[in-house]
Amino acid sequence: MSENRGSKNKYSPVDYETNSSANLCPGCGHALITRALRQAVSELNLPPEKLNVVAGIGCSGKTVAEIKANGIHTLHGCAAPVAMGSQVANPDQEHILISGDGDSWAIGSGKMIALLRTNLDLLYICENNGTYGLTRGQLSPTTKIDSPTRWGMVSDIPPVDGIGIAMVTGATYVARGFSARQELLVEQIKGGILHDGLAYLEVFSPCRTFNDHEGSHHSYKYCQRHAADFPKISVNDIEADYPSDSELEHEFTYEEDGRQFGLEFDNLDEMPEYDPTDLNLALKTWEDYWTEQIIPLGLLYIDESQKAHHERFYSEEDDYIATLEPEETRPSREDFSIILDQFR
Amino acid sequence: MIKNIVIGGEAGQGLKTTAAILGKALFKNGFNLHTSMDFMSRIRGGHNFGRIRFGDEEIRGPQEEIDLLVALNEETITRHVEKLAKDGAVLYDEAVSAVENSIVVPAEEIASEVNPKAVNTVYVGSILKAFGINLDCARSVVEDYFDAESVISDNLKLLNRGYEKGETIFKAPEPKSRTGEQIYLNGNEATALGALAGGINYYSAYPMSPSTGIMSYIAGKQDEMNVVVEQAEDELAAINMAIGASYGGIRTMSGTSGGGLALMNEAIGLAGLTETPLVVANVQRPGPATGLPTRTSQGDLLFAVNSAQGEFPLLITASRNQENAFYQTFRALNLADKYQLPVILMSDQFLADSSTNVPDFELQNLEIERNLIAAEDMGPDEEYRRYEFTEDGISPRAFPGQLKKQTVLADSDEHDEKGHIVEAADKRRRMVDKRARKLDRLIEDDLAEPEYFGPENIDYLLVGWGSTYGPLREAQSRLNEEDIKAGYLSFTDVWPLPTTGLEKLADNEVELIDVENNSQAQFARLIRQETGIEVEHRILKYDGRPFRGEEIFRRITEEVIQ
Ligand SMILES: Cc1ncc(C[n+]2csc(CCOP(=O)(O)OP(=O)(O)O)c2C)c(N)n1
Ligand code: SF4
Ligand SMILES: [Mg+2]
Repeated sequence: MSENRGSKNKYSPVDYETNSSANLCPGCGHALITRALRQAVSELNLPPEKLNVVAGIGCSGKTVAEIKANGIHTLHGCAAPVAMGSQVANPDQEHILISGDGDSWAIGSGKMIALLRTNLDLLYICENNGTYGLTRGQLSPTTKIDSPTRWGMVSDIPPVDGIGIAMVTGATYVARGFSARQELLVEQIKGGILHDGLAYLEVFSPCRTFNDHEGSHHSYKYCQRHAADFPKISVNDIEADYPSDSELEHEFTYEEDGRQFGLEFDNLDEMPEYDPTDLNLALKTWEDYWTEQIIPLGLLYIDESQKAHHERFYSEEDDYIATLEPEETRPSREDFSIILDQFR
Repeated sequence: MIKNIVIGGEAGQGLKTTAAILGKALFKNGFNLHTSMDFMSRIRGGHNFGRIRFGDEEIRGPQEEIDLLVALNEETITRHVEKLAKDGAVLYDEAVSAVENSIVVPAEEIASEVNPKAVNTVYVGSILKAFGINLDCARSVVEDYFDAESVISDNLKLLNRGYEKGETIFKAPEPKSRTGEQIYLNGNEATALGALAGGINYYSAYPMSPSTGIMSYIAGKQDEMNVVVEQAEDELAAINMAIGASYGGIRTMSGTSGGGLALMNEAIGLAGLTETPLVVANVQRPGPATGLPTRTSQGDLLFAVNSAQGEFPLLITASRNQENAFYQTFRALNLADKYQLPVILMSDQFLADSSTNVPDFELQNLEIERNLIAAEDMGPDEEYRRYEFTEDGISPRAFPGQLKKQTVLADSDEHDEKGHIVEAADKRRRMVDKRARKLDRLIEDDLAEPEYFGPENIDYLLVGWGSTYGPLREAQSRLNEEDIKAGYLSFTDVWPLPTTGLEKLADNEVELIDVENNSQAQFARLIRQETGIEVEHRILKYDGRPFRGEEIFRRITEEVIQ
């Protein structure tokens, strides 16, 4: 995050603050994600009224209270279908779904699969702390086998591999972040918002109160020790952030609010055989990491070639239903009379 | 004069096509008619039948006594012959010795010479001949019904052959006896049309008999009518998608049957607490669990009334017949928007799958009312509050992106005016009261009192809700013909329960008779709960079959009047 970026922006992170609180514990990873999110949307210069945050239930979902934006706090495990409906109504809003590991992969697992298949244009942030924070520290579907809870419970079945499922089921932007790596997280969020399709960002987000103890595989310490920064990305405003004579090497470019953004991979040269647009390779590499208990942080997979969900319904932006004049959304009496003919 | 045809056979024999073509042909001949289906939940085999009642008098439902029994297999004869009228006839592919009037039409043999798949059209021809009704209208129906030229011409041929081979036994009712423009459709189609006329742009559902017809009809009209139909992965998703789209500012609807409504329950509460307008059609079938998937019931009433945990304003309204289903759906969408609450629209398999002729829908008096805030209503520096306290509890509603520089926050946790989570005791109480005031207002301004049919002075008052309307009207007329002073009170809005009309009629002199398609007299219980009025007599039916008017009449004379 270079100094000059803020200067071109109308918005600063403070503009996305509210005077409401999610009442999280001090040091909670989720709060750091909220912070990164505010930073990211300010760098993209997105006005709060263009953001639409759909939140699940959990400490994670509660953070919707601390983000100045349109929003709906839904039911446990049901944020995905609500987001689908909202996105079809208003595809021009940037939809961000905030959910926990239980909300996503226990009660919401069926919804998750259905959502991943759609390539809905939204950023899904799964705030994974390996436990149920809000209900005080039970096992979650992502709890690792040899990672006892604070209360000494141990999972005897393997955890859900959200990243792997997301890749094979149809997400077209799959990233792994860590609350404590703010700089990368901001880039991952920006990339996910700019991406035209379903971005699944799973963030390792330690629960200070119930899952940050010695022996936990979901603690800050554990993650720091096992994290590998790869493949790292940065997302920049092309005009503002680069001197005019620099050679640009963006893997992907996007337009937002009349500005050009470029997404580039920073450290792919450390692993020349890796190709984040190759699904099989990305999957295989991820699975190798997964078994070795290394936590790769970065953008693991991206595919910009797929149609986003709403493009199946809308050929042009002017057609977005919620933005139409009322008369345009309803059948005229004449049209309606024509469909009645079938019954005459 | 009214005639009753029953066509029976096994699943897979094309009964639906036969009934559809015959029904439409009779309709085009200008008769009144009512077509209902009795189908087993299977794709092949078993015993299925359709009843078509037609004539030059008003027809409101099915009838037991059969004039013409059309048997596509032998089982049909054994099952139905005892209900054959004295001068009734059986149409079969060989002579039936047990009955006096036996029309022999070897339909399969006839069809095999032209197109074996079109065997049903032979029956249509012979049935029309039995009543001496010419084929002009049937021909045009066949031409509309099929697409391929060769199929049309085969069917036209077989229609003629069936006519030639048949014989005229009955005098037909007077054709063209109907007045005014009419249409012929079933309850699901009427509901779907009400939704389209009501300007829905989104319909999300998961297939479940007998509600699926609503989704399939709307899905076929997606492009023409600017609707997105989402077949969700289950009902939980379906309703949450609808809530998301409604929060997003567009008119939405979902539909299901009892099992699906059970899955939707938590989210009905979400619509209640977040004050998101939502209409869910519940097309009932007999439960619990999988129950009788293709049959009828009114067993979900108290379940719907008690939807979801906690307390929130909810409107439950039931359609009484096909015509009413259209207007009720339209109205439900308006009321959901006006009061920002969930509405459950009750129907059932009997209404959903039965077709009848109804007066052309009157569109000119229908006004879509979204009840959204206007930009001018916001002060220059005012911050939008989604749950603003108002006298009638209705907060000005905006959707995300509607107002410049404003955000909209909806919350399923208890919240303050802006939508932020709160737990303070007084704030909670104020919000509960605010939501409750909406319902008070609805009761005052929009709740529909039941409609009364019958003489001024009565000894008996029949009460019923929703689709029993047709059979109950017939029963009430029959009672009056027998000089029994009976009236009938037909409820459509059932929750909150409108009580004024009932309380006026239910004085000590009058005996009340509750007629319902369930085993626990749920509506009578609701009446007692809300008014203290005890309905002393109950005519209940819970075998999965609809009431017939004469059956209600008979049971009242046997069980109540004696
Ligand atoms: C239908 C339903 N069941 C159970 C709950 C209770 N509940 C609330 S949050 C939660 C688990 C949250 O865990 P997670 O999604 O990981 O979020 P976190 O609090 O860890 O961020 C549970 C079980 C609920 N609110 N609704
Ligand atoms: S319980 Fe855990 S997840 Fe919840 S706020 Fe506290 S630290 Fe965060
Ligand atoms: Mg969790």
